[in-house]
Amino acid sequence: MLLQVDGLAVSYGALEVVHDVSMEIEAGEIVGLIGPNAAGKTTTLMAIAGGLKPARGSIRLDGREIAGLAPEEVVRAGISVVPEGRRILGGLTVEENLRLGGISRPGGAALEEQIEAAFERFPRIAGHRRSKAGNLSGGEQQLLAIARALMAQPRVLLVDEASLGLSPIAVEAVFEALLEFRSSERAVVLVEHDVERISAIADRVYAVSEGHGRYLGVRGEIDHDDIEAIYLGRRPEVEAAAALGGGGVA
Amino acid sequence: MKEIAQYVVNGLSLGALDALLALGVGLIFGVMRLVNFAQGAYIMLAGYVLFFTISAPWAVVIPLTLAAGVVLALVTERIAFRPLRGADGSTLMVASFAVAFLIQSLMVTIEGSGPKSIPIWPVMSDSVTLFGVRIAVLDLISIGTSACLLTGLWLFLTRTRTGLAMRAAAEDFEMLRFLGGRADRVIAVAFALSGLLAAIAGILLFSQTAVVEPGAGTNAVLIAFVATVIGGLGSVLGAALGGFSLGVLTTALQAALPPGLSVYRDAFVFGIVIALLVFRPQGLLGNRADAQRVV
Repeated sequence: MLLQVDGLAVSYGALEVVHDVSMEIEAGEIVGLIGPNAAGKTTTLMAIAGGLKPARGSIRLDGREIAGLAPEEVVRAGISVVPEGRRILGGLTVEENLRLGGISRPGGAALEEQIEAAFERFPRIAGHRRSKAGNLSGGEQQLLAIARALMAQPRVLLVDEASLGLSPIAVEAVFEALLEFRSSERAVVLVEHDVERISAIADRVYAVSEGHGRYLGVRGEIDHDDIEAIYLGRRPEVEAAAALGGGGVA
Repeated sequence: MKEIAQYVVNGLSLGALDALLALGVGLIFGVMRLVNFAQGAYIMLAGYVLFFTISAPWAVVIPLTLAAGVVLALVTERIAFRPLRGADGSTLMVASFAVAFLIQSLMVTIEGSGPKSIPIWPVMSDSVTLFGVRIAVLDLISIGTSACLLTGLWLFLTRTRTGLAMRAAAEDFEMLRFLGGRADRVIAVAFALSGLLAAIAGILLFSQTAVVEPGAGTNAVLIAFVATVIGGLGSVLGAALGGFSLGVLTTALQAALPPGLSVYRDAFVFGIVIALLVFRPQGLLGNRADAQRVV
C-alpha cells in the first residue's frame, strides 16, 4: 500500500470537521475524492499534506507514519499538493515558481535539467518562463501548479479541484498531465466537484460527507444512487432501516 | 549650486540609512507578518557594543558589533517569536514591544539609564572636498555601505535559493512550506539579516550621534516602520524604496521650508506620508491584500 489513511479526524479549534475518513491508495492509481461543499474533502487533503494536524487517526506513506509532520517534511517524504485555487506565486516568474517546486531537491545541474524537462513536458508554459506567473491564464496557472508540484518528484500527488474555473480545453490539458504522471510507482489523489469527470478518470472513488469517509467503488461500478444520496445529504442505511420499520434510527 | 549638491548628498545619506532600517523591518514582516519593534533593541545593542569596544581596532569592533546584532535577533526569534508563530498580527506586534522593553530594561539594570558617550573614530567626523563640495566622510560611508548592502541583498534575494524562498514567503508563506521550503530556516535567515542590518545602521547612526542610551533605537525603528508602510508592507524592495524616499523627503523639506516653518519639518513629512497613504493605502510597491491585513 502506497498511502493509507485510517480513521482520520481533523479539527479547527474546538470544531471537528472531519470525523472519520479512511482511504487506501495503491501505486499506479488515480483515486477520486468527491462530496458536497464543506463536506471535509479539502480538510482531508490538507491534513495529508501536513497543513493541518490530525486530531486522531493515522496517515502512512509506504508504511511510515507521517501524520502530524510539517508540510515541508511531508514533501520530503514524497507527497506534493496542488492546492485549491492553485496558489501560484504570482509575483515570481514561471521559472522561479518551478525552481521553488524543487527546493526540497538538490540544486545545481540536476535542478536545471529538471526545470528544462518540466518545460518540455508542459510546452504551454514554456513560452512564459520569464513572465510573472500571475499573468498566466487560469489553465496555464493550473498546469504550472502541477508542474511545480512535480518538481519535488513526489510519489503521491494531491490535487484539489483541478478543473475549477477552467475552460474545457484547459481541463483536458490538466487531466492529460495527471494521467501522464501516474505510473507503476506513483499515484494521484484527486478532489473534484465534477462527478462525471472523476468517474471517468479515477480508478477508484471515495466520498466524504459531513466529515465521514466512504468507499464508493472502482470505475464503472459506482452506484449513481450512492452519489446522489451523498450530494443530497441522504443516508441510504437510514432510509433502508426506515423502510424496514426501524424509523427510530438516528 | 554647491548648496544644492550638499543637500543632495545629505538626502542620499539619510535616505540610505533609512533604507537599511526599513529593510530590516520589511524582511521580517515579509516572512512572518510581524512588525518587529524589537529591531530598535538590536540597534541599541550595537551602540553599547561600540561603547564597550571602541578602543579596540575597528577590524575587531565592527565584526563584534555585527555579530551582536545577529545573535540578539536570532535569540529573540528563537525564544520569543517562534513559540508565537501563527498568532495574529496584533499578538506578534505586542510581543515585539514586550521584547523591546525587556531588552531596554535589562540594559538599564546593567548600565543605568544615563547616556553613554562613544568616542567614535575621528575619521568619521572628517570631511573631503569633491568637485568643490565638502562632503562628510560619514555621509560617503553611509551611501557606499548602503549601496553595497542593497546590491548584495538584491543579489541574495534574486540569485540564491534561500533568497527566492524569502521572496516566496513574503507572498504566500504556507505555499512555500507545501513546496518544501523550510520555515525555520527562512525565518531564521530573515532575523539574522534583520539583526545585521540593524547593527550596520546602528554603527552609522551612533557615528553621527556619538551617544547611546537604553531608549536609543526606538525612534529609528518607528521611522523604519513608517518607511516600510510607505514602500508597501510585504515588499522588500518597497521597504528600501520607502526608506530612501523618506530620507530624501526629510532632507528636501529641511532645505525647502522657510526658517519659520523648518521646526515643523517632521509634521510636513508625516502629513505627506498620510496623504500618500490616503491615495495609495498599499504603499508604493505593496499590494492591497497586505494593506487590508495590517489595517
